[in-house]
Amino acid sequence: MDWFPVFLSLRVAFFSMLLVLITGVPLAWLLARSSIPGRDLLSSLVTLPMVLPPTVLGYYLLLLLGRQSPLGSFLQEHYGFSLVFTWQAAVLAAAVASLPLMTRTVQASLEAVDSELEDVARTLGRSETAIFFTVTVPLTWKGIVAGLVLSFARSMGEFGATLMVAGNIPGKTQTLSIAIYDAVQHGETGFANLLVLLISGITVVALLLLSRLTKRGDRLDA
Amino acid sequence: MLNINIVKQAGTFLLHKTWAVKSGEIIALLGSSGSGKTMTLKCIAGLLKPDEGLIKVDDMIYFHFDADINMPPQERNVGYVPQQYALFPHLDVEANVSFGLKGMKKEKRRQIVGELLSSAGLEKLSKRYPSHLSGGERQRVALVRALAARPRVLLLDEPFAAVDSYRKKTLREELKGFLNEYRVPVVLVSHDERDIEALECKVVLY
Repeated sequence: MDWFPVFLSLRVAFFSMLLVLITGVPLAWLLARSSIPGRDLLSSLVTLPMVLPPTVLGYYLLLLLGRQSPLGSFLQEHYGFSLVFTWQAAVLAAAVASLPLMTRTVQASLEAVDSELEDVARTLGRSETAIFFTVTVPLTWKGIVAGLVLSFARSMGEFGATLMVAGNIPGKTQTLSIAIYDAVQHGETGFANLLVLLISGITVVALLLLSRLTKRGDRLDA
Repeated sequence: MLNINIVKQAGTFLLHKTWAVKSGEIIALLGSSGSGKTMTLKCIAGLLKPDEGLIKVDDMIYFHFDADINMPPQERNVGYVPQQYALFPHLDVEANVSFGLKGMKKEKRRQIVGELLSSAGLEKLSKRYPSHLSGGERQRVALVRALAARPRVLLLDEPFAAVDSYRKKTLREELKGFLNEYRVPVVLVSHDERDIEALECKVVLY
């Protein structure tokens, strides 16, 4: 039994979660609080990965990262490194696919924070950064964690975009969902069943954690 | 002394007000809802920017359109108590009150907060969270929080709106006693004439 795809998927989902945390929270903040020009366009772009076919996403990523692209050739020339067909590319694919889930969830919880609280904090002399970390984040952490759990689950299940940019290299880029496809193609029903049970189990546990988290009424709901 | 002379357009509504209030005095902005009372408070606090005019406290200019001065709220040192008090729900009473005292030594902060809490009869509640306080207690916490940093002006937006009517009378007395100790210009938004009588306010009609 080859456990590699399981560990690879967990690793990909973990790093994708980190990427989505550092990009999704600022994006959500921009969408919820700022009035930058092009906000509506940004909002649509953020949602796009949710509605586009994953293969199209993957194709965009290929265009962006491939050897012919400015970024791809830069990495190749200066670091002798190509992202395409690596597990890091799978992380990128998973992150792009789950970014809308993260951004939308955090955006909703940011919009639920009473802006009067932040206003009072301003009159009390605290800087915008201090307000973000001492008022806004403590009041939205549930949304942030919920977004992370959803992103994790989405990243675990990423297939189309991952296949396009990371390929299907056993022992290198073959993630859990791609291994399932492979196993079915090769008639290895037993192996496929096992992997299907595994990924379903992991995802159900993640979603159960999520519903417990959002249900628990503590003083933050006051 | 707080002087204001501001113009602000919001949709079809035009606010244009000029008035002044001395230290130790209370001025009440009296009028129906939607007449720009809260908007005025927010302009003084620096949370909204007037379209034109001047706002100053003594010699300090908060806003001056012609001189292109608009001091950020962080530097104005204004005590602001919004209508629903806006206590930080994730912080206990003590942390709420000391929120504006960052940058001060911890012991000094403790001492100031302790004194303020006991002067408002809140010392027993210092570890409570806002959701476990009554309306009157919340009001006192918000007031004490606003006064902790020794503000140059105090802004109160309908301080009795969220309090049971039978408690209002005592709370008015309490507030009056409290304000007597702090000699700052106080701006009070209200649509209840009993507030104005009890607190002996000057009145500006909105």
